[in-house]
Parts: sequence; structure tokens; C-alpha cells
Amino acid sequence: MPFWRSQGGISASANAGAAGVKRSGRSQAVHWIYPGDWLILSAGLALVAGLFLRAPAVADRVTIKQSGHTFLETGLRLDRLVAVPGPLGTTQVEIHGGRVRIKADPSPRQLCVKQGWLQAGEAAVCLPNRVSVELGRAAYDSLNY
Amino acid sequence: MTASTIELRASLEDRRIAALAAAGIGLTLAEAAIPLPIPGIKPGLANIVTLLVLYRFGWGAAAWVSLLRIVAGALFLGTFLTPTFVLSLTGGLASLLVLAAAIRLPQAWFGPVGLSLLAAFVHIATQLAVVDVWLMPHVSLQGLLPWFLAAAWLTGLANGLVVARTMNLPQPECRREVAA
Repeated sequence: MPFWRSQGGISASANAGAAGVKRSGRSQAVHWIYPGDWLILSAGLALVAGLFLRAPAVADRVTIKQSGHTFLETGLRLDRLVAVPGPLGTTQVEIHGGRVRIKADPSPRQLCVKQGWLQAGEAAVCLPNRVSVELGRAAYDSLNY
Repeated sequence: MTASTIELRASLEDRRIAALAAAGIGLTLAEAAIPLPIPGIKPGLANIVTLLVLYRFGWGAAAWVSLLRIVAGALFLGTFLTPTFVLSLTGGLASLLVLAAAIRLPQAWFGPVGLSLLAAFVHIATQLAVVDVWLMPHVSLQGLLPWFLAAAWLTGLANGLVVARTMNLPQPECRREVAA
């Protein structure tokens, strides 16, 4: 068929049929997505959402300081209990399941213990015992950024 | 001495593949010029051409167009045989393999959007695997994985919709080419 006759003469649906698409050409975007496509779309979305929920915290650098000096710098991968000595006694820092918190502290008001598990970028400070715990961002190398 | 002439006969199919690959190269160059905020994430517009060719001319033509586009696009951008090229090639090959299987799915159930999404996911997953195993084995990419997959979901959906829309349009250009 000469192309000039196809300008309005041939319907979009007839053309679409030849291309393997069953819907009419004037349909909405919804009709371009087939039932199986919805399946793939939702499965993909579920995968992405699941990964976001399960993703390890980007911040995984724990810095424990005692009287302003770095006592320990570590990651969140290994569960452990760190005992930090201070003027009042021992502060227990717990790393568990990719999170960090101050589990026990001899200071009177227990502010840092009540703070609970730290969010990325947060720091818990036990002033009386001069212990601080920071949860920082992992340092990326210049290759990445 | 007589001058010998080497004549390459390009069949209609050769010309068609060359023209379609050129369209893909054009899209690759165009999207390379778009500044994107996150390194490593790009829309992959050339895959629109690959999918259209797959539906219209079959997997063989799609493979030709895709691989020609990857090699020639890399030559144009100056990334030929660099890690970028290897990533592009492995991603492209993996996508083609998945498309070869996916095009055999019942066509009443799976359309261009689904295929585009599958190809996009496999593309980025393969690239991340190559980066993880070969380029940066000591760096954990786990934190970036959801972001890359989310981007692949969006671009796969967008490209698939473009393919679906294009397939639903009357296409006078194609007929003109066949007539010529």
C-alpha cells in the first residue's frame, strides 16, 4: 500500500494488530499494560520495596569516644558488647543486628541509655561518664564519588 | 594493473538494521548529553528501539541492532573497550537473552511494558554483578542496589509505555521504506 493512503485511511487498530498488539490505538495508557505486565510491575515494585526495607543502613561507622579520644572505631556487622571505662564506671555499648545503643551506663539520669538505638547520624553522649557513641556514614572512596 | 572494485551488497535487511541501529545510536548520544544527578543511572532510551525491532522484525534483528548500537555508541562516546563499554555490553547481552525468552511468553498476557521492565532489571542486575565481581570487589554495593533497581523500574516502565504507544501508532515511515 502506498504510504500516502495510510494517512487516515488505515485504522490504528488494524496496524496495531499487525504489530502484535491487540488493543485499539486510541486507548489509554492503562490498555498498553497487559495482565502479565501488571504482574511483572508489581513483582518488581515488591522487590524494590523489600530491598529498601531490608537494606543495611548506609551509616555503619560506629565511633566510641572516651574523654574526647577515640576509644573504638568499628562497623555494625558484628554483634558485640563493648565495655568502655570512664570516671564513674563502665559504659556498655551494644551492637546488635546492625544497630547500636548504649545498653548500660553509670550516670545518674541515664539520658544516653533512654535514647535507645541510634539512627544514622545520631550520637549518644553520656556526659557524666565522658563516653560518646556516634553512628556515622560509611566513608566512600574517591572511586565511587 | 586494473583497478579492482570491492562491492558490498547491502540487502534491504542490512539497510534496515543499519538505519535502526543508527536510531539507537542517536538516542544513546542524546541521553549521554542529558545531565543526570546520580552517576550510573540513565534512562536507556535506546532500548525503546531494541524492543520495537524485537516486536517488528524478530530477535535476530533486535540483537544486531542492540549490539551495533552498543559498539558504535561506545566508539562515538570514546568509551570503547573501557569498563563502561564492558558494563554496557554485558548488560545488553543479558537483556537480549532475557528478551529471547520473554518474547515467547503468551503475547495476550505479556506486552512491551513487561518485557521492557524485565530487560531493565536484568540489565542493571548484570551490571551490578560485574561491578561487584570485577571492578570493585571490595566495595559493598548492597546499599545502592535498591536505588538502582528503583530507577530500573521507572525507566523500564517509561520505555515500555513508549514502545506500546509507538506500536499503536500508524507508521507511514515504515511503509515508505518498504515501498522504496
